Amino acid sequence: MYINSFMYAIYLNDIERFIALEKDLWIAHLSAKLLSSKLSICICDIGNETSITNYNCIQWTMSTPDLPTSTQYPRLIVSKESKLEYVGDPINTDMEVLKSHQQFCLLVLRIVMAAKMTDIVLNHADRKYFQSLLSSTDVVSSPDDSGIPNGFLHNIEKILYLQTSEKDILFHINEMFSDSTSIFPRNLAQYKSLFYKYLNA
Amino acid sequence: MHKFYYRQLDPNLRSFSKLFGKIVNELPEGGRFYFNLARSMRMGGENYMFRDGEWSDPFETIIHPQFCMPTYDKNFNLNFSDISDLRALDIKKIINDTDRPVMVQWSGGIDSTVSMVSLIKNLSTSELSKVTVSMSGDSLLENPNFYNNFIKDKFKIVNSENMLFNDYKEKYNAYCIGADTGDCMFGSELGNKLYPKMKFIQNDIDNLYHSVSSKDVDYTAYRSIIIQYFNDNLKNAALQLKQYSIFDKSLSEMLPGDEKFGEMFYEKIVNNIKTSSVPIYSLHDFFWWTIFSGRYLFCSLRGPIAYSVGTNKESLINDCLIQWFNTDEYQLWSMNNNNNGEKLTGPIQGLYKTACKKYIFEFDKDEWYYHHKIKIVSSPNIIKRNWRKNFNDFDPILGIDTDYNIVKIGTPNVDNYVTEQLMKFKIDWC
Repeated sequence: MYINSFMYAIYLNDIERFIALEKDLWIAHLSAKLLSSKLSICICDIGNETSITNYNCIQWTMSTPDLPTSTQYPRLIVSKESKLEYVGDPINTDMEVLKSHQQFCLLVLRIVMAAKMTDIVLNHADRKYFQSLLSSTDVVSSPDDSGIPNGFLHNIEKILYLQTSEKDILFHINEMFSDSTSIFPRNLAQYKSLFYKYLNA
Repeated sequence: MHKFYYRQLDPNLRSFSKLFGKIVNELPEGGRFYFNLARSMRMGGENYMFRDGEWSDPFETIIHPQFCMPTYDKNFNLNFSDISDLRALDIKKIINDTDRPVMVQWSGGIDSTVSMVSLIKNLSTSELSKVTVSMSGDSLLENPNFYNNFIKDKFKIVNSENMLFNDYKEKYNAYCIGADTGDCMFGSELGNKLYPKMKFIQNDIDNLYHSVSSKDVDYTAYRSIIIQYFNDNLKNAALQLKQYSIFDKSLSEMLPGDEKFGEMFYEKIVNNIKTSSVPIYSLHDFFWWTIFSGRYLFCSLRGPIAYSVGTNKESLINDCLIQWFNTDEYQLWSMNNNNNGEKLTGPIQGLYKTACKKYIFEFDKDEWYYHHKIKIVSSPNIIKRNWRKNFNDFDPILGIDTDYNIVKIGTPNVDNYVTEQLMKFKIDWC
């Protein structure tokens, strides 16, 4: 059986340091895509290096001549030549701002995980996805039964992509769940309850 | 035969590779050096036309009057923000003096966002109504927050994916504002690519690594690193050419003597620096100079020449193109603001173009962009979307002559001329 002991790190090209870790590659990738409105990022496979944590990853770098340093679209770096290196805090960088941006990134990772979990548990009718595979335009389909226009997951992703502070993210998510005009108020309440359960787990 | 306002040699292009394939093994030392220089530069090829100092070239080049370098003045003291605000007044005048629209090429990157900020700050609502933003999906990806807050529903927008440069003039009779010479002001070209690799080239370089933009550490301290870097670029480029089966094998071969390429290139730049009138101190200055002086023409003119159709470029260059940073003030600012933190505060990506990012931040208050934005190279996107569609027009371009006519390789006259020039070119600097 394949045991995944690997960890993935979100690497900031601008400061050449890691900013957050995530065990699940797909969560890391989606989060990186959503953070790309604000950051130039790579995802690095850091294997089972246990010395690196979310508390100290800002002092670590991936040392390789191959990192794509000029990109807005996050990619996974799989490099045989790469080496993890402890190099200390980044130079000439406002550490207070950087720490607050790190908190933002960690929140995005948590929300993406909670949203995906909620979607997997509650969504049993992503008609829009299958319709797109059929290239069909005969009917108008919704991605879920949350009652949220364009779907729960899409809205969460939009909020994470566009908002620039933790406060604004939480405000807009709460606003989304408080839609008094929802066509499926019971479903919306279920989504809300499960999402916050996973977020605060 | 030809005098060029713009010329390029790019063995990565099919037309050039055909020609080089026939002659490359016959080239004497000087021609071989130029061929190596061309392949080591990869995309865009060799296109140096230094605006100051000695620079021997196989082809006769003349600096276009619009893009000459102003005389260095060490007393120039306007700051970046003032100059950027002043630049908008030039555009204001154009808008008010003509009834032609102004179209801004906005990539979402740092340089073109400076031009947008300046225009939004300094033009009236009615003047801004004459401004159209030319942008693509890549622009959205690069700066979604600026788009949402300052462009969406506020400007007319055209999709740059459907635009060749000549369309600005022929379809819209517009002036086209580009920010292609932003890199020339800030020096972010070869140097940026070297800094992350320095420790892989030489051990124990902590002090040198942190001093790339220090006036007290002369660029000559990096001599061996630069030479190795130039040699590595050549080797890697040759390897890349080898992967393309369409190219003649001779293009990817390394011959005896090629190992001297890095040193020859370095010494050629040093010779130019020593004969120029602008002071060069640090490693950053060294690389800044190669683009500020050496590739300014390429950066300025590649839009109307390499990303447009048509055989004569006079009206595009003289009556359509406005390079935002092509003013005496910006250039004098650039000559006077090396090694003081205005251009870079360290050898990592996020610390470049400090003055631009400050100017943008004072306007949009986007903390993320200010602290984290890095330079994203736009040219692969431009090539991806409209270069390939017009491959047969663009691929063989050697340059434009002083009558603004396109000169293309692939005809016996031009091919013979290129061959002759490379055959007789002599190394005269070391």
